[in-house]
Amino acid sequence: MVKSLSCCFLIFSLTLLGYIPASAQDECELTLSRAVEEFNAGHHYGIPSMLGPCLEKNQNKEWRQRAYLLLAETYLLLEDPFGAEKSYLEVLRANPEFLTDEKRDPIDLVYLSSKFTSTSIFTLSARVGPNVSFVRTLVDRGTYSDDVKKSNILKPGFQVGVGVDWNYDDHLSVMLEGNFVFSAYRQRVTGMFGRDELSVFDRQTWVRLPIAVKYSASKGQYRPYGYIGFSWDLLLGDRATIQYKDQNYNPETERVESIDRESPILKFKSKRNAFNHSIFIGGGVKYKVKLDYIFADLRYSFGMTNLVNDKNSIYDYKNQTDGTSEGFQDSGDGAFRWAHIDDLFRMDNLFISVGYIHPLYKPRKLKKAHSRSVLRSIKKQGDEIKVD
Amino acid sequence: MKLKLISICAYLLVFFSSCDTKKDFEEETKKYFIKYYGEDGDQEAVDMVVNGDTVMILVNTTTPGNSQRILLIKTDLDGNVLRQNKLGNGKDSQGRAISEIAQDIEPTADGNYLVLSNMYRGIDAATNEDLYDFKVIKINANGDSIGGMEFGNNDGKWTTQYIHSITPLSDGGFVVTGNSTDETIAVDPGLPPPDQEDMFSIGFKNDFKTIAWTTLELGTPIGTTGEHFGSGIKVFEASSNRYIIFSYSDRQLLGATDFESNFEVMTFSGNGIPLGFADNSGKETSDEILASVAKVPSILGGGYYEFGTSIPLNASSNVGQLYFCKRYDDLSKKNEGTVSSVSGQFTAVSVTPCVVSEGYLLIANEKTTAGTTIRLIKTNLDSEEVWSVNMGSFDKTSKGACAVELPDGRILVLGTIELETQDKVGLMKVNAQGEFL
Repeated sequence: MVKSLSCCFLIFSLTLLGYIPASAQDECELTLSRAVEEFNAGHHYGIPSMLGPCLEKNQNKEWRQRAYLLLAETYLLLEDPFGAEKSYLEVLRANPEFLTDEKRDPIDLVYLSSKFTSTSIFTLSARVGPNVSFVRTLVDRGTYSDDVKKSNILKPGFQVGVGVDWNYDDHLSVMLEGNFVFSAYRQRVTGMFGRDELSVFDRQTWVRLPIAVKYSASKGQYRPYGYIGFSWDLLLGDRATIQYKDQNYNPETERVESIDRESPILKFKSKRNAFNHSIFIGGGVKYKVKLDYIFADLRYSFGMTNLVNDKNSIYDYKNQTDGTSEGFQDSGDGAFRWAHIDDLFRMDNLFISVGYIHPLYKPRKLKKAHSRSVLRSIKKQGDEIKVD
Repeated sequence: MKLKLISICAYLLVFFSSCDTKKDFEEETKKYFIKYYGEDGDQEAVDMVVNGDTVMILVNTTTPGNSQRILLIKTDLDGNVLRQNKLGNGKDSQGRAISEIAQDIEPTADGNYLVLSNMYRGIDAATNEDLYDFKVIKINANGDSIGGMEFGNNDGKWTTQYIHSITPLSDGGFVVTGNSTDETIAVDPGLPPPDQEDMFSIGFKNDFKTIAWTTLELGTPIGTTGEHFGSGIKVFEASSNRYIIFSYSDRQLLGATDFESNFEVMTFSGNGIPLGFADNSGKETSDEILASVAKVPSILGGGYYEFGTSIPLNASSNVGQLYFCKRYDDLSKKNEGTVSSVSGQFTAVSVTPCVVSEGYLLIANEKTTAGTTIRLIKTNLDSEEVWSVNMGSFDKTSKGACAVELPDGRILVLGTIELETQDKVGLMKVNAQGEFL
C-alpha cells in the first residue's frame, strides 16, 4: 500500500517539476529535486532536514507549495500526522486554492486534505458605478391650483463603496457595505397659471449601509451571484435648483413670451427626512483574477420611507425658531419665491457597479473533516484490488 | 446555525419591508397648504369671504395688453378651484374704457355677495389727479352677476371718489364709504396745509338707488375744524336708522393745536344725518391711519376693533407701528395703543376676530430691506401678541389681504405673493399657531 502511494506521488511530483523552468543556479530548486529523488528512493527520514534551510529562506510561494507537499507526504509515510498536518497547512498558506485530486494525488494526501480548508471567512470588496433614481409619489402636492402635468425625469448619479462579506460557506454569505451615493432626479411641472413651466433638479448625497444575504457560485472563472437585503440610508445633503418659465401671451405681438429664471442652489436638507431605509435585490458576476475577482453588479433598491419631512417642507421649523427672522423666510423661498413644494415621495434606485473583490483566505483545520467521500473512495480502491 | 441566520434575516426583512404609504400622509397634508391662483400677468389678492365650505376670493388681474379686471375665484377649504370667472368687461356703462380695481366683497343676508370696485377713468388734465367712479356688482353663490350699479360723480357734483369698503344692509341696500381728492365736496379747514381729501359715505336702497350721502368733514357744526386728509374705512349698521362709520383723519381735536391723524368714529342716521362723534383714538406724536375695523362677536365681549398704522409725524414713508383701539358696543374705548411685543416697520392691513382661539388675527405688511412680507399676528383679547409669523420671500414684495379663522381653529391667509417674476394670489392654510403643520 505504502509503495503504491509513493509511486503515485513520485509521478505527481515529477509532473509538477516539469512545469517549472529548470534553473541550475537555483540551489533550493536543486535541493527540492534531490529531496524528491530521496523520497522516491525511500529515504524519507532525511528529507525534512534537507529542505529545512531553504524553507527558512522564505522561497517563492510556488516552491513552498511543492516543498511542503513533499514534506506532508513524507510525514504521512513516517507516520507523523502532526508534521503532515502542519506541512499541509503550509501548502494552503502558499496556495489557498490548492486542491488535491484523487486521480492525481496519493489517497492518504487526499484524505489529509479533507481535514483542511482555506475558504475565506471574510471577503473585502470595493465598488463604483452610476445610478438612476425613480421617484414614487405618495401624495401629490404643489402650489398650483390648475390642472398641471407632472413628469419625473431620470438623472444620473454615482456611488462608491466598500464592503465585507462574511462567508458562511462556499456559497452563502452575509454582505455588509458602506456606500456613498450621489443620486438625482428632475421633476417638471407644466401648465401652472395656464402656461408656466417649473423644473426642479434635486440632488441628494447619502451614506447607505446595506446588509444582505448573498448566494454565489463557488467554481469557475465566471461566478454568478445574487442577493437580497435591506439598507439603512442616511441622507447627508439635498440641494435643489429650480428653473421657472413665466410664459405670457402678448396680444400685441400675438405670441407667447417667456421670462426664464433659475434659482440659486436651495438647500432642501431640512425639508427631508434624514433617516430612511430600503430593501434591495441584486446580482452580478465575478470574474476570477488570480486569487481575487473583479465583478459587475446590478442592484435595484426599493425606498421604503417617505423622503420628504412633511412637518418641515415649507418652512424650516426645526432650525429656525423665530418665525419672523430673515433666515426663516429664506427657508421658505422654495415655496414663496419659486412656487415649489415637494410631493411626498419614496425613491427607488437602480445601481450599476463594477468593483474588485479580495478574499481574505484563512487556511485552517476543520473541526469536522469532509472525509466521507474520501473514505468511500479508499474503500472502492480496496475492493478493486481484491478483485484483481 | 444556518436556521438561526435565516431567522434573523427573515425578521429584519419583515421589519424593513414596512413602508410609508399614501394613507399615512394624505389626510395630514390636507390640513395645511399654500396655493397660488392666477393667469397670465400679475394678480393681486383683495379680499375673501369664507362661507361654509367655500371660499370666495376677490382678485385684481392684469394680463399683458389688457386693462385691470376683476377676477373672482371660488375654492373649497382645501384650496381647490371650484370656479373662476371675470366680472365686467373693461368698460363702464357709457362705453368708456376703464380699469376695474376690485376693492371689497361682502356677503348679503339673502345668500349672495356684493362686489365693490373702483373704476379708473384716467387723469384729470386740470389737477393731474386720478379719476375714479365706482361699481357694485351683486353676484350669486356661483359667482354669476345678478345685478349692479355704477356711481359716477354724484350727478356731476364730484369729479372723483374712491371707495374703501361696502356694507350690505339688512333691508337689501348697502352703504359705501371712502374719500375723494375733490376738495370741493366739503368745506376746508381753513388752516394750512392745503386740503387734500374729503371723506364721505353714501347709502343706497335695495334697488341700488341713492338714499343719502354724508360727508365726514363736519368741522364747525361739531366744534372742530375740518380735516386735510382722511378716509371713511368701514360702516356698520347698528340699527335700521343708525349707522356707525369708522374713519381716520387729521381733524384738529378740541384743545389740540396741530393737525395729526387719528382714528375717528361717528354715527349717522339712516338718511345720512350726522349724529355725533365718539372719542377719537391715537397719539399726538404720530398719524394713526385706520386700515380695518372688525365687529367683535358677543362671545368675545362685543364691540369693535380698530386696527391701523401709527406713523411718526413728518416721517418720509407710510410705515410705522401697529395701532389698535378696542371699543365697547356704545363706542366708548376699552383700550388702545400699539400692538405690544411686535417690532418692525409695518403697514396695517386687516383685523379678524378669532372665536376659537379667543383673540384677533392681524395682517400687516412688514417692510424689509428690499420689499415687504406678510406678517400674520395672533393677539389675545388684550391685543398682546401671542405669536407672529411672516410669509413671503424676504427680497420680494408680498402683501397681505386678510385672514380668517376656520371653525377647526386653523387659519386661512390671503395675500399677494411676489414670486420670482410675477405677482400671484396666495391662499395659505396654517394651523392655530400660524405654522404649515
